Amino acid sequence: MTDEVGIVTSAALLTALAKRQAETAAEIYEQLTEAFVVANNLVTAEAFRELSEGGWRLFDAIQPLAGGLGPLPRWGETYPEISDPDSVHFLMPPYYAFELARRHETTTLVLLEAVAEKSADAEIRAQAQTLLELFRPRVAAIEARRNDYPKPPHGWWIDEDGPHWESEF
Amino acid sequence: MNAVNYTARDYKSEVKPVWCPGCGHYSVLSSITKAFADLNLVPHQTAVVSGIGCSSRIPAYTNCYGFHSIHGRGLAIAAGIKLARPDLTVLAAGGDGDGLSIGGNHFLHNCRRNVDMTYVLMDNRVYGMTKGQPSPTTESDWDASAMAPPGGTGLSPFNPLAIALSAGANFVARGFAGDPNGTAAIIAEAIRHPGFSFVAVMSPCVTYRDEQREWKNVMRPNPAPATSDASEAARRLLVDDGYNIGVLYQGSRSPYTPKVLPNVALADLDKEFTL
Amino acid sequence: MSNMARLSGPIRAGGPPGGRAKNNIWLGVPPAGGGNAEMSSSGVPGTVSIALCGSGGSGVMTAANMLMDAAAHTGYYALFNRSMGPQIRGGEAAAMVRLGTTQIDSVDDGFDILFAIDWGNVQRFAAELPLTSASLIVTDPASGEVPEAISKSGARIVELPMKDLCKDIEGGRPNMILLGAAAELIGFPIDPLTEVLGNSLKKKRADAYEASVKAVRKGAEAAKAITGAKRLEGTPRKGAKKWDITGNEAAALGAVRGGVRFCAAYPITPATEVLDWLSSALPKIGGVFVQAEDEIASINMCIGASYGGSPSITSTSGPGLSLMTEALGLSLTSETPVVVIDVQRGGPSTGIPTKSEQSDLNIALYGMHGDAPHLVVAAQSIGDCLFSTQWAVYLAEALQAPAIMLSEQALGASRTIIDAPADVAFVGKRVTASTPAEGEAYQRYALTGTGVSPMAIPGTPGCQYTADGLEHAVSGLPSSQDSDHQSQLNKRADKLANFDYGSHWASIEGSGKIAVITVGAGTGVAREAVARAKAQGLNVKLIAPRLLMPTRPKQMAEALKGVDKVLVVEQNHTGQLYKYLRAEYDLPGKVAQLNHAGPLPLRPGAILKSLLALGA
Repeated sequence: MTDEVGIVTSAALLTALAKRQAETAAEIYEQLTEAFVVANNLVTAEAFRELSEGGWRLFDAIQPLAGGLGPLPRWGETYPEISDPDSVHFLMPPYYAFELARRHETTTLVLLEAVAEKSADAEIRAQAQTLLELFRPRVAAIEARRNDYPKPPHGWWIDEDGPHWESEF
Repeated sequence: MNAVNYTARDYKSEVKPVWCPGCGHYSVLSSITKAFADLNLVPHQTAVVSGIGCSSRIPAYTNCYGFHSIHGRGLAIAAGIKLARPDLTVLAAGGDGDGLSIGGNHFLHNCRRNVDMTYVLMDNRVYGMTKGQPSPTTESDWDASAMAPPGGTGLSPFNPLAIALSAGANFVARGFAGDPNGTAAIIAEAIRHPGFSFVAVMSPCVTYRDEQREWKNVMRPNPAPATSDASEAARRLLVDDGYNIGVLYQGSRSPYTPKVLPNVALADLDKEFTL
Repeated sequence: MSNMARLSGPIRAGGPPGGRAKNNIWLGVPPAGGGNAEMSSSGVPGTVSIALCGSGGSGVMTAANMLMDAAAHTGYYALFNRSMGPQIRGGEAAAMVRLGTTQIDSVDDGFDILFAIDWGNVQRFAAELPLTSASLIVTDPASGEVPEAISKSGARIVELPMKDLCKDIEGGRPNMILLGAAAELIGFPIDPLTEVLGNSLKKKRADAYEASVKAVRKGAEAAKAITGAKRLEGTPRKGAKKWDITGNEAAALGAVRGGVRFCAAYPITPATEVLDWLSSALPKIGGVFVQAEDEIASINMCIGASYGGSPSITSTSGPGLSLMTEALGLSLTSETPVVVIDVQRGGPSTGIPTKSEQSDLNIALYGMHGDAPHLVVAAQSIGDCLFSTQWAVYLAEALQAPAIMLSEQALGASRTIIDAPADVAFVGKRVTASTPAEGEAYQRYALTGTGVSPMAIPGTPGCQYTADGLEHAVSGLPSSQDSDHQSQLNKRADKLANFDYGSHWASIEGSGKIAVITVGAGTGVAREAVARAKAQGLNVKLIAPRLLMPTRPKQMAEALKGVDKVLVVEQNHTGQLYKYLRAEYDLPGKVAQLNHAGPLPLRPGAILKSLLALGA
């Protein structure tokens, strides 16, 4: 099990890792936007589109620090829809889109908090705090958006017609 | 060395995949494009070939030269491309039904022939594109779909890695759609490695194999690093439960190359008939 | 905002508000003199064709299936087919249902009412949903504008807020609102619908049952404010024994009725359903079903099982039939019976798997290498899939030959309510050999009067032989001799040509100097066109061959007596049926063609138009 605090050996590395988290999240939200358009679930597609916009804003806001870093080590959860496959269903209402993002981006938040608290290096701890000032509002905003939606009704997942198995084979 | 530095996005086309949201194949597409980016392949010098099935839709979702061929024949087409055009990077992709059922014979023979190309098999242990029938890698007792006989088929599933190894593939690995970065690294290595490289990527089917969401809890990295000893690899496969991720085997067979003989002028070919 | 205000307006395009369409606009028939009995000009009570559209789990297929169930129990006849997007989940879908009080063997020229829960990507199949200004579009305003591809028809648009209407119903779903509204509009009784819901839901999900019934009733109530929809005519006959079945199921049933007890198969759209049904039915009657690794394995396993004595069948579509042709030649030369059902789809190559076409004629008739006389039978309707398959099995067994049974996606994948088909006495029975007398040797391919040689089933003492694809002598031993090749070629051709197929070889109906010749699903469509022509004073004879190979020159000549103009109707691009008729038969003076490839179905109006032009 990687030591996700100890693996951060410089402030520049931490920033790069956080920026990578933001980038991957935004890319996945874009991919999910398209997937939900194709599945004719336009309201949830719109939710993911909104999430991807916010994700890119977060990405842009993170100022990279100088330093030749080479390939980045593994750090944090990168693929929310795969890390929790239960989080995606073609019929799911927008509530769950925001819930997926909230859960995922909270994992990055938790890591940053751990680094801010436990890193041996003061500079790293400080940089973690700086990054937290970007990530905390992001997660809070996502949670607020999620709460804009009512708890989804029982049975939202029911597709009476079932899969279209004939497709194009 | 190319002047351009490609990113994974550069290998994706504008076409939106029709896969179900939550499908593992999205992740495999990411892994493949990421692997291409890591190798900085030139999109127009790369060919992606497939058969028929959900995973076989992948060529249209890339920005490379693609061939969505017929059921089970992707490997034959891919081999033809590579033999005629050794300068291209050729990647064949397809599913377990396509590749191991009707495509089984071609799979055997392409492993044996060892042409320098890579085959990514997206294994979801089901025929996703028809009604959810059991496939050659389906567990013998699986009967959760209306299409599987009660109690399951009773037939032992293939272990694609074992078949690939014994048929002579020069690189054998397993990936998991739940670990896209890891899978990307495996695919990049597979492409780099000469000869026929086989990567089976466990890619859950969210529609027909609901229980595969548990895979993320059982997949584990290979307990041992890749070996170049085929018999060692075979021993490991005997106790393989299908959930070990990583490169298993990297062989040293020379990739198949057609014989190069000294050139003869076309006109001189008549000579053997002339009296 | 009251629902009532929504429903009576706004009406946005085309046509006079309210009032009934005075005639079926596609017939080109002037309105009947103000009468209230709205018969279509074919003289049968009017049918209603509706389409239900929705996407992403909206449940239009379930709604349509429930309507079919209710129709079945109420005495109506119906035909149901569907179009879907390429997605496995969440795709756009259109359920298309035609209902009436007499048997329905064809789609109509278009739709009387199109309902949409949402519009999704409906333009994908807009061409399959023809509407006119006499049609009605019922849309949910929450789903936005009616797409131009649909509204350009000039159909009258009315609003029905399906999603809104089910908000007050706990667990209520828009597709049930739609179902109730649809029934109300076309004059279909609501009670059978609620009964059907009860049968399917009461035990499993009682709360869903309550909610669904409420929604159906609410939809029906809301639809009362919509006027001018085409309504069902005539009285449904509840007494008559009916079946609710798809073409693929019918074919599978026909197979086992014909004596099939072995099937090896490989899934392929649109044939997979035949295999589904056989996979569960065969074990129940002591038969064997196995999913093979591919089509080549399938056909060869069937031939093996047949060699062993078990009548065998497999089912596939164009690409699979192509793979099977070599093995069919083996069946032919070794004289081992086998039947292949080819459920045709859009071709060539991978083509359009979910759409119908009649473009495998060439390969079915002429696809084998060598001189290869064999049986080709073409089902003429969903119900006829049963008879034609059963007959094909019977013929294959009797004649020890391969038979290709041509079906098509329009039959195979469509569901219908029809009169229960008659039980026919065609059960496969081989001429088998018994132990020869002392001193005599068994000759597997002995030349006989009929051309059919007694076939030894393994286990019969003294009759061992080696079946072979190599040409052979009467003993079965390989031979390259001229006399053997000629006599065996003659035998294999004559046994088929000289058999008495009776009247089943074709459906021949009506009389006239004009004949329309078609096959497969074209039969029902042409039949309806012929009825419409007759109502306009044009007499047309319908000739629909069921047996395509071997040909029936004498019988066809008899059928064409007095005919001087022929229209050949088929659903393919290259006129395969036309070329076959030209090559194999003498046709009278003027022969016109009406052919176009899928995905759009053949429709009666188009055939009528060509017939009228021919008759002019």
